[in-house]
Amino acid sequence: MSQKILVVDDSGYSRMLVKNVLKKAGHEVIGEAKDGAEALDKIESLKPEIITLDNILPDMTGIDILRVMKENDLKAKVIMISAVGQLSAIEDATELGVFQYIIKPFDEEDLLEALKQLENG
Amino acid sequence: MFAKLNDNELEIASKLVFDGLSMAKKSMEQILQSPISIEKVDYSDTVKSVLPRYLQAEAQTVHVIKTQLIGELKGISFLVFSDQEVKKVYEACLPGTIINSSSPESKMMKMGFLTEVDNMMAAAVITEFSNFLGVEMYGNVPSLHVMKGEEVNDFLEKESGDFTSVIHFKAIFHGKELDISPDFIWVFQEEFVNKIKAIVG
Repeated sequence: MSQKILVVDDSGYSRMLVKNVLKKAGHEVIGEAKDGAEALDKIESLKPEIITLDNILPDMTGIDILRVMKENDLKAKVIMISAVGQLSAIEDATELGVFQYIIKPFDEEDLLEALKQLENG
Repeated sequence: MFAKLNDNELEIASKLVFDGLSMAKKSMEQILQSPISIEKVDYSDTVKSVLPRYLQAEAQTVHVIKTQLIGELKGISFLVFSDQEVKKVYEACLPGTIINSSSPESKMMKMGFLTEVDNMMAAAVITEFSNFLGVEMYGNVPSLHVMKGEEVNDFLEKESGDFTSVIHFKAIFHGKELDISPDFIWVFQEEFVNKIKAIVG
């Protein structure tokens, strides 16, 4: 089933990688954002079903974005894709409702499996 | 470098550095899809003339990707590629449409690829250090600096200038298939030594 996805990452290269995987699997990438402010704007205006979210962005962290989403009742399922692999960061993200935390560099299968689990769950 | 550590503390610090670099090596292998080895790890208490291979390479273009550490442990990392190495990495990892294009988008994608390689390698080291030392630390968004070979050592020294007391280690990675030997340099404040002492003590 095709899902409407927003891709958030400051790296254009990473956004391209993620978008390619998602499109190949038949998902609809409805937008992308390179920083936190743009991400929050697009979460509100595009209302994605799923967000792939980097943790370190130029203006805020992915964790900050999750907090703002929670405070403003912005609902979307979030898969975090980040090079930050600290246990504390993963715990914070999980507490804020992240569905899956994928550590970069990631395999295509990791992302597809996470999406499959989201669809089935 | 670790002059202020006793034998036991030195062993822990060296293992931590090695484990961190091993994680970075693994990340690099995964990104480049090619085997990488850690050729050499050097320790020093100064960043002066840290890269002798560029001292005579005046005209050569060098790509330095810098990541500032934020959080409880202050520091900075530099991943350094020569221009030839960058070309080899692009050829191995990016589609021809991007490599051969001079459009602003392709240029941005190439720069983005290099900074992302650094981002993942630096994060691998930081994760290892953060989990082991029990400190909150992250790498900020990396920045790419392109300069002449003769300028590299001055740049590294200047960028590390904020640190009154530095702990510095440098690894040379080697990709035999790709024939690249990037340098990976880390500079920490003396707090790093204190954290090691606290853990061992």
